[in-house]
Amino acid sequence: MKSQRDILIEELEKLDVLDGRYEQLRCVSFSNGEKRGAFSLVFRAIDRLEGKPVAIKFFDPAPKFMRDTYRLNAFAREPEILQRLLGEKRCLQLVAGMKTYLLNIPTQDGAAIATFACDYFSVDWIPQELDVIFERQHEITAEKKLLLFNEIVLAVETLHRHEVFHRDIKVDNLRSYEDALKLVVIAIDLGTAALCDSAPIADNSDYPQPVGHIKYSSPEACCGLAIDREIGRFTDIYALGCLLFELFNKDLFAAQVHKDIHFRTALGALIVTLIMHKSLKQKIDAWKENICILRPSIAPVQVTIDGHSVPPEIQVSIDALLNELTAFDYQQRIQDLETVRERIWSMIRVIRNRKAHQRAIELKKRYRENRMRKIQLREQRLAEYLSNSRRLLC
Amino acid sequence: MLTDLEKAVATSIEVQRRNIAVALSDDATVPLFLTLPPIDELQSIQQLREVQASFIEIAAGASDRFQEHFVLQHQLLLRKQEKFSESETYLNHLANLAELSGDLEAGEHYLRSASSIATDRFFARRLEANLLRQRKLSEMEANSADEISQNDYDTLLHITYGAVLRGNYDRALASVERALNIDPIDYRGRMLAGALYLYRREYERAVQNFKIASEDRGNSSALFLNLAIAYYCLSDVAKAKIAVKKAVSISPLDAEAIAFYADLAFKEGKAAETISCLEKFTRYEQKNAAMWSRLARAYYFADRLNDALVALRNEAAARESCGVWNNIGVVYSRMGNSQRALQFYQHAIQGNAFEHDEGAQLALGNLLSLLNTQRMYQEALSIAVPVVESEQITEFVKKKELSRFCVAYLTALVNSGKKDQASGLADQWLRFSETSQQLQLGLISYQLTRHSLHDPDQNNALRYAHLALQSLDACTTCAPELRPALVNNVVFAYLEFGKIEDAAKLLPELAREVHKNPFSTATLGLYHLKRGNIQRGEELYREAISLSADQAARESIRQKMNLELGKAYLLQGDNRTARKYLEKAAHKKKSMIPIIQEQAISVLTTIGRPH
Repeated sequence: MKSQRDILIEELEKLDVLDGRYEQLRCVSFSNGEKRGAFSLVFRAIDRLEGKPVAIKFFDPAPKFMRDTYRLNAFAREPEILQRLLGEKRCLQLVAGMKTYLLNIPTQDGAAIATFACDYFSVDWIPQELDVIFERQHEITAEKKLLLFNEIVLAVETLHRHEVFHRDIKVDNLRSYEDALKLVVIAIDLGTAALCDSAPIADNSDYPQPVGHIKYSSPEACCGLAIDREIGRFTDIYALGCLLFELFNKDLFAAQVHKDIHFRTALGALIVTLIMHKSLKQKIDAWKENICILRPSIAPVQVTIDGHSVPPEIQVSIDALLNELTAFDYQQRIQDLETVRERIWSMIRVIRNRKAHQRAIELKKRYRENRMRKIQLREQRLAEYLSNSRRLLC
Repeated sequence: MLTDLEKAVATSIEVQRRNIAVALSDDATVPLFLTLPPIDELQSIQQLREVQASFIEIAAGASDRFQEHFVLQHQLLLRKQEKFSESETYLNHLANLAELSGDLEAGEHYLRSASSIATDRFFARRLEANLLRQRKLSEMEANSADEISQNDYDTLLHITYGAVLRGNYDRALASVERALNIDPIDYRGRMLAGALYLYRREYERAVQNFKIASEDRGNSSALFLNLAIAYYCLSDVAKAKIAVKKAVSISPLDAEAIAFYADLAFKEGKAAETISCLEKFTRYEQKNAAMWSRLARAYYFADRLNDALVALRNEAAARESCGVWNNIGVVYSRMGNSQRALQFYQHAIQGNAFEHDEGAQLALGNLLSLLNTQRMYQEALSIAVPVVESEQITEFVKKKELSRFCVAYLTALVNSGKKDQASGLADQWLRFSETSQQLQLGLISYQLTRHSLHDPDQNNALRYAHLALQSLDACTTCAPELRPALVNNVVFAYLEFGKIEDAAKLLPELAREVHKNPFSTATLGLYHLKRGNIQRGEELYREAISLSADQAARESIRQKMNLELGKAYLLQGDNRTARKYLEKAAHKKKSMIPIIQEQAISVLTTIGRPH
């Protein structure tokens, strides 16, 4: 017996034309037989009207998703959010708003036909994935990586300017295209995105669920605070920090964070505290009250650890930027993405003008040598003191 | 005035001892009267258990959930294998996700594949770390045998960890020293070296390494705790305290650091200063019984008895033990609620728990002592006799925790008119070479009290006084509060038998407790009266009476004061005033100590009837 999902895919792929304008529909949600995406089915199609490829996004009709009000509401909200971004460069463009496709499925005995309303909407098809850069970052120059990161920041900044917080920024949700020989990055899949002026979608779960991808989940998202409009902004900023780390280091950011016992401890303590409060406001207040106690023990993650590919002249700057993007407490994170871009550009300029910064590196080297000399002296003095005191005892 | 050693010792909250952890990178015996267990209390403890939250459990739960997510991410990333199988970053991401999913072997597989492609040493180091986590030490060592590896800082640290895991500390130290030759600044190497020096008892070197490490990374609580331990081992308690306070301020959830700080402060008699950090910890972690008991102890010494009770109930909710029932009894006893205290002591000793449990042993002593205070001597004996007559008594007298029980038993015997039996038993236990040092002191004090007050015998009293001073100096494991109590009793004995000069030698030590302890204050009053300074003597005696919380103790001190004032006025020829005081001391209804009454009557007889 075929599932509703299989029947829908089969029917759509057989269709000559959907809604009088989309043809050649091909489901792209499966790779090596496994489904991609949490609760949607994406089809690539050609839009006859515009004469360009489009992505048609259906809500997955699998029964488990059809009963999930949170997912259903999030899907319904996505075209509303995209509507707000119409005509904006660096934003995914809505081709057509929410429509319904009626899927007729005969009942098991074949005596009747059940009709399911399958909602869908279409957006621009942007083919170029960014994983080719992230999974091969060691082969790419620092300057190119910084230029790409600048584009990623621009894409998120544009969303934020329109009060849209993505909350699931990750490599697989970023696409790019070339415009006048320049790479332009766009954030796709706004399924978990939030509008600053819309009410949060209620999640019935008692246990806080991180919104978005676990690899890039910020501490506040792990505590269930990311459903708050304002805090959603900081969750995106944290994810940007994770991406910056992974552009310059072979390790995943999550591998560094989860290695730190203090990070786990503080996160556990915050969950314990926040779980006791019912309302979101109380939870946020509890966060603010407890975070000062818990954050001092957490050491910031640095890019310039083993496995990095950061040129020496920007090591200090990049670690400082990462620290501000991924601070454990969202209140301590950098808020202004324009400033982030300015700092990226100054790093690019430093790389382009290495000589000017040779002196700074030389100074740092001398400082280190000086410290090593002092430590050596201290050790000599202790050895002398210990041998003298032993002689005295004899 | 004599201090009752039975009361001076062990009426404080006992906490479970913790081993210090150095981080490298913590029939209700014989029921005489049927008392029901305090059911209402037990119910409230059960309710607490249901609402106790633990950040450690939550963190572990969150960790499991993260692990599930990472398993999924690992599977998703594997789908891109065709696209990136030749990319070292991709293989490392796979290794990261496999390790985060708990699949270390898969991680090893990816890292080996990446090592065959990569040209730098990053993957060699990653592989060593992975093998170390899998405890594949031989493979790890084989992997790092070449000369390049032997000059790699991280590899040398991995070799050090491996040597520590094998228990080969000399090799570990040699490796870390080689690593420090390469990078003398890095925090990890310095911390490791410090911990190894600490283990070798080379504390100065340990301190220096921890201090250099702290210059590189100033926000590690484990590092500052290690530094505190090193300072403590160097007997520099002040610096140890500064370091451990720093550790606690960095991480208020570091249980090891907080426990060390609480124990250190308690040893200094400043348990109250740890209240805020213990409160902070228990706000997040409510299932750590050891921390609740430390918080209860801190409250107890800050005289916050209701708070102490709440903390102990939480401790019982986290982990039931005879110790916690005993401690609740101690708090109730201090609050003056003897009935409740008796119930909890009874509850603690249920099922002959005192045979093996230290908490129950303390409870047994406290139970007997409280029954004595309530003058319920027969009840006390009914509980104690089966214990004393059991075959295990020779084992029991060896236990420090049962010393209070043994002394309380002797008191119950004396007060039941079995003085000789008590005295014989005291001598028998004193002769037994394996009797615990604490019980020996208790027995000496018992004999000293008997021969200096109840059954005066100068030779024996002075002999026991001498023995008491000798034993005090020799006892290293005895409760610290024993010393001032016993010194007071020795001074009293000296004064009773006219050895004023000998008593004077001990006055500086006695003076530390004067104005705080009623018995020491009274003894100093006695000293002044013996010296003929009646006004000062009376002042001190009256202060002692007001210092005493216990009615029986107040009356005993008052009776002795009246006798001594009577004798002092008699010496000055003021028979009228002397008679007034002596008559009070001889008052039949108010008499607490029969011998004092007898002495007062005897002196009154020598004065004769008033004209």
